[in-house]
Amino acid sequence: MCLEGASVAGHDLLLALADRGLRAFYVWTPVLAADDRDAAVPAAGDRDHPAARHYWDADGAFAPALATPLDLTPAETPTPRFPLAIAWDVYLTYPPGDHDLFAPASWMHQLPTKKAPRLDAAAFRRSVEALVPAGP
Amino acid sequence: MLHDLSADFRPLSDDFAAAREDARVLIVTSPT
Repeated sequence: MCLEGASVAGHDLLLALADRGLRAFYVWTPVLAADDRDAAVPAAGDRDHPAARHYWDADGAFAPALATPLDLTPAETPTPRFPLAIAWDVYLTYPPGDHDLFAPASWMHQLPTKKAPRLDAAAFRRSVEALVPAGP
Repeated sequence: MLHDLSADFRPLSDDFAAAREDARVLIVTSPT
């Protein structure tokens, strides 16, 4: 589910919209028992694209940091490894311009929360298409 | 290529800011 989300919200959109000015940033973060840098390398490689950048959250610090501005609680982000709230399986959008990384224009998720819509590939694509110039 | 995040979330924060002319998506997820 995690990898599928990364494909539909990232790689698939870049294939369609990169030439209209879309960039994708992926943070691969350790959540599940098998998550490590060695697992992140092929996950990133399978979604390689000139408009993509991939990062390994070695300390597992980014996802908890993002949970606070998204107002996510531990009960909304259950994992076997983290007692804290962590923002994982989240998909954020930003329009062109100077924007705070922790203040997206919109976001979706695959978590048990109602604070944002659950990831829907078509709806996410529509929200991203609204941020880039119209196509030919 | 996979870049390692530092404690202050660089280079992500720098790369994100440098792409200000573009629309961006950020995906945070598990690699497995």
